[in-house]
Amino acid sequence: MAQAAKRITREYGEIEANPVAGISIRPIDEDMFKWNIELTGPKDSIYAGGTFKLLLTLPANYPFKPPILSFQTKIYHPNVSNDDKGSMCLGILRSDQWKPSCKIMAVLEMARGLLLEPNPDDAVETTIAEQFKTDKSQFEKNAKQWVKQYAK
Amino acid sequence: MLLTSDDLLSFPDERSQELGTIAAIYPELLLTSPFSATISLPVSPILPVPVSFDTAEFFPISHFPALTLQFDLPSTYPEHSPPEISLSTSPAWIPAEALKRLKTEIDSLWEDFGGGQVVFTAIDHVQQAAEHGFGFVRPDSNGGAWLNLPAELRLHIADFNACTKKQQFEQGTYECGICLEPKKGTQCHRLRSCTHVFCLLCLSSYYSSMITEGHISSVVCSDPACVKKATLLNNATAPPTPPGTPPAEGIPSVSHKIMLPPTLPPDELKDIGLNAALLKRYVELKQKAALEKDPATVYCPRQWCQAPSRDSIKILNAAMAENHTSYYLSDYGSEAVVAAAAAAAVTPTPTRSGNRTRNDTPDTPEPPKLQICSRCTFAFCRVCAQGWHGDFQICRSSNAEPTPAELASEAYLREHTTPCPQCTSPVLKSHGCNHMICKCQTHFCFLCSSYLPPGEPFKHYNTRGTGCYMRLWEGEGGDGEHVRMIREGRVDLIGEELPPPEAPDAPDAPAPRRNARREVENLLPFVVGVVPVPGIPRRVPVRGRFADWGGTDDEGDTEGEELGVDFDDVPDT
Repeated sequence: MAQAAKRITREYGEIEANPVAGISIRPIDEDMFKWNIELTGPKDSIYAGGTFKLLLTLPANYPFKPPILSFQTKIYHPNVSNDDKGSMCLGILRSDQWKPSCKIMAVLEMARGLLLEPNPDDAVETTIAEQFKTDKSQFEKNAKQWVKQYAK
Repeated sequence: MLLTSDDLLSFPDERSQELGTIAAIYPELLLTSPFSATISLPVSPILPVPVSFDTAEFFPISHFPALTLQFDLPSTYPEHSPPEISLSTSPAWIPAEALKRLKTEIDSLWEDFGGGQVVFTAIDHVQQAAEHGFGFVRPDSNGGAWLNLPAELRLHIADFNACTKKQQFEQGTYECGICLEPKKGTQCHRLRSCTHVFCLLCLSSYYSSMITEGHISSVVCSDPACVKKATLLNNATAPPTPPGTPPAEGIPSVSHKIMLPPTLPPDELKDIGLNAALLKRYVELKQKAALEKDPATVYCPRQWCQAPSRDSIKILNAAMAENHTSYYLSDYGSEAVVAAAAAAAVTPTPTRSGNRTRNDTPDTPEPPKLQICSRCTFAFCRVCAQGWHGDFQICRSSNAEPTPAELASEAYLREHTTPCPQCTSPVLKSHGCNHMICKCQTHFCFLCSSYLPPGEPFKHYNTRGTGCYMRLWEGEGGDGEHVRMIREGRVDLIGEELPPPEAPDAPDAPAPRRNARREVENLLPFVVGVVPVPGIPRRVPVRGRFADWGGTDDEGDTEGEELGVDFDDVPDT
């Protein structure tokens, strides 16, 4: 626990010192194990113009266990579950693939990367993934519609 | 008593002034008198030197024991005579020839300088030569380049190298990739396979947590470079080659069945500080995973046990020994696991469980039907998963269709054999009467399989109403034409024709018959116990046609030959 808090504080310091465009972080309370994240939709993506709120939860034995990342803003995306959890399917966040050397910023960058390039082969929302593959224009239309509706 | 740099600088002599100045540059220079000094120079070549110790094995050595230079400056130095410089090492490891070459080079420096102060130049020269390994490593006539040292130096040099490396490592500071803190070398561990450094606290708590939770595949290096490499490797080895495909050229025949991703060897985990209980659990989990990966592993059929069979573990261990893994796996529950794991050889490559299995070689026979559980010691049949029923019992796999060979065997046994009433072994009669003596010493009737009292076995055939009355000699020639042909060595047990004996009158004429027997043994999935009754026990009254039988035979008591049909012992009737 003490180890986890130390590392989280250190990572927070690193991110504060080198902020990455499009990603903003704000720890919710003093113990630093829950962060509010804001991702802005990448400029060249269909999510451009949207601002997505995410919740990052760090386990007590971080970094031995992966953080949990969930979308609080609804998003039309094959890799984000379309429910109140908004959980994100990211390979490295699975506990068998997670490595303690992976940092929070890398996770967030990968999450933002998924907005730019959805990965329909590893989808949680199979119908959206199917549409992404077969009817791209309809997919883009829906996604943009959701951005307008939820992420502005 | 040693002098200081200042002592010498205040000494009104050119030689002392020179030594004093050099002592200020090299604090390790020992001033033994105003005109003499010694210095020990570390020999750490930039590139590790491949060293062999009178064997074909090479060790990359980065640090050699120091070279000591002793300077004595005569009164005529520096104008009229060179400095006297002697070179030595302890132990004397530099080959004499190389030392001589170095000495000549240093001695000529004074002349090259046209007579002048050369102590600094000499030290600098030796230092530079040391960085390049003194030119020890010169390609020999075979193109190989290494330094050969006497075998007795091996321990000393290797130890010195390891100690110096450790010292250097401990003096360093490293940023641990897990806690992200800079840590002193003494609190860090360099992973042997990939040389990435993490702090001991992080490694031990991470691996402990992973082993406790059973995620042994996470007991690997956490460095992003290693993670990436492992992912590539996994993806590359993922598609298994379809059966029957010959291995691609250049790629060693690797079975994917029990190849696990490499994880840290247990002895390294011990050095990281994991306790014995965790190491034991790690080895057990690793073994379990390796066994589970091999589809040929046999498990105990008892629902509450389900441990692998002793045979399966033995095969796994043999496969790993063959692949020279540092992994030691022992029987389930063995207390020696941890000790053995710690004692296992130190190899830089982490564990890769057996790359070869019995299935790699098509010639390897099937594992035996008799399997014994490694945990509860239940003896069971590999095929039918029932308690062990002996080699001769007909049984079928409960979850697989019987093969044509199995079906044919079953049909043959049903048709031509009689089960022993005691041990149920199917018994085939090659010839003779119907009084059979099984391998288990049970006397029984070949016709109806009923017990016969050993004292009076023939009563069964002399009593009306037994169903076998007067049928003692029925089927005297054995069970069917087939058996007679087997006896004569013309066919084997499954009806395949055998080559005829070469020359009937040759002294080794029986040889083909012996071969026939051997072939039968090889072909049959089970051994058929054939109990010829070559003789009738003397105490039994012999009458009628029994008396016509060719008398008794001393060999008549050899019931239950391994295969039964002992062609050579069958008396002609």
